[in-house]
Amino acid sequence: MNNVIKVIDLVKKYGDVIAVDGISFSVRKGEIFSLLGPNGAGKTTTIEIIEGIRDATSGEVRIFGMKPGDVKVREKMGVLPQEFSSIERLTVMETICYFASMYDEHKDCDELLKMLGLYEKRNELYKNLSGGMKRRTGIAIAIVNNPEIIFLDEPTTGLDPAARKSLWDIIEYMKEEKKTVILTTHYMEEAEKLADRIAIMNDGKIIAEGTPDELIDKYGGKKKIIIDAKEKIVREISDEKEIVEIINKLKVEGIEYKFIEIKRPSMDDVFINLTGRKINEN
Amino acid sequence: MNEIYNILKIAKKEFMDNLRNKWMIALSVIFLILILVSSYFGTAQQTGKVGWSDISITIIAMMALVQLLIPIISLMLSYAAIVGEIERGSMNLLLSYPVSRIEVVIGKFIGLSAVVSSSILLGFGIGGIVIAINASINLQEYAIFIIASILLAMSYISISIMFSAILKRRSTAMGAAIFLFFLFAMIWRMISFGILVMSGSSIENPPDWYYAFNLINPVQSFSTIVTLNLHLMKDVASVYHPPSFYNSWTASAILIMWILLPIIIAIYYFNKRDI
Repeated sequence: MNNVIKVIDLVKKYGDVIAVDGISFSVRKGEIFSLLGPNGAGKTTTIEIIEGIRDATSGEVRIFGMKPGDVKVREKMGVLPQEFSSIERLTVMETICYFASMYDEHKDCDELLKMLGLYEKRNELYKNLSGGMKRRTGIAIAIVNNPEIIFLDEPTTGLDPAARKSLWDIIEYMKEEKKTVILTTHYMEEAEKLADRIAIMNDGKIIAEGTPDELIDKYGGKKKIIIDAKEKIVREISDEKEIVEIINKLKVEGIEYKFIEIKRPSMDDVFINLTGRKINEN
Repeated sequence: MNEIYNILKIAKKEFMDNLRNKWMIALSVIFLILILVSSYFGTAQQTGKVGWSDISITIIAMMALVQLLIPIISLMLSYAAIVGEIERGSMNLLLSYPVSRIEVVIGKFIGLSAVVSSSILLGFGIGGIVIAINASINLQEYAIFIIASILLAMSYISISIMFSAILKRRSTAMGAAIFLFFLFAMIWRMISFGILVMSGSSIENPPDWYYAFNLINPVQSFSTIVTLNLHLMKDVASVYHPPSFYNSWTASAILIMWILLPIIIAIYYFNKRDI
């Protein structure tokens, strides 16, 4: 697969504070690549350097083989910033058309609004939209130029579960359209569900990288068997044989139980095992 | 060519945003009320009568207010132009598009200048028609007054955008704008007069540097352009013997300098700025 983004030994310092500490990774064409980590891990700084909005202190970044910020690169990319805000007193349609006008070629505004479920709201002022609809408008702005690569920085933060689910559907649609998506998030579930590959960031460093399955297998720890008997029994298991052995033992000893659950480790377990804390703990 | 197209798109967005905000309508009404009130009541204190005055008298009557109002309006409209968008997060979005930072600064300047200029033209334009119907109007004097007002507004917009590009917070940019307003509206005159007194010169026959120092102030440049072109003020001006550089052209050049220099500084700092 072709690498569309290549980051080598990237460092970003703000005075004495090191926001990004010598990270390297690459993003392949057509994949959803997630930078996962707690707030302050350096995810936003990293993608803003790739987008060409910030300068790196040192290191090398190439996007489509070019330097970030190059006009040719910007024509091929779409961005939904973390603190997304648009022009308050323009309608949804005017907003989309305004950003579309920045490009020589762009999607049809009507079609885009219909595709994202914004058509009914096209004449509403941006400031009057709900949080979910504002974020959808942001997505529309990000893909109005039919970009090859889309940067989504914490796209679902602050949204209710329904709006989050709806945005996940849109991101999955981007994947079907063979777009490359760079997704930063601090939601484990989001990264696990959407990403082809994940780089876990903590304190400016990438501490692990791989597919969700690879990361869980490598860092998630053992599976657990949870037995809801008189008392809740939780045991770590190494393989399927152990499950059979435990069930047999329950029968032999005549222990009654309501259900047995086999719990696979999650990305939460991966993060705890790697850092010794939960992702939302400061 | 593409650069000009981008600048115009950003300018149009800025203009539309302020049009929706009703800023433009509000400003036009303010300018209209100002000129009509000045024309009808402007000479009441001196003559004990009310009634429509011709345009020259109206301009003299409203000069002091215009000198305060246009800078305040321009500063308040523009101080957050860049830093406000950075704080809101919309600048990140804009800069991810194929537009340069130079285009953003110039586009915003043109858009905001268009807002205030349109309001001045609309407010003073309608006011001028009312005065022309009820009294008399010297078109040349009025045109110079309107053009000078627009130049004054543009210079303050340019200075505000400079603060907005340099300073890190919206509140600091507003503080700088307020300070600048007081500096040019009040403090500058005090300083120049203080230095004049300290140097032992008389106000009746001030030295050349006094004229130069005052001309540097954009408000004073505006006032110079307008008053030197009013026929009613020609007699007053002849009492003083100003240096040869004290003329409308120099004052216009200084106002244009106040438009260009801050924008250049704004572009320089915004290009270097980590957002």
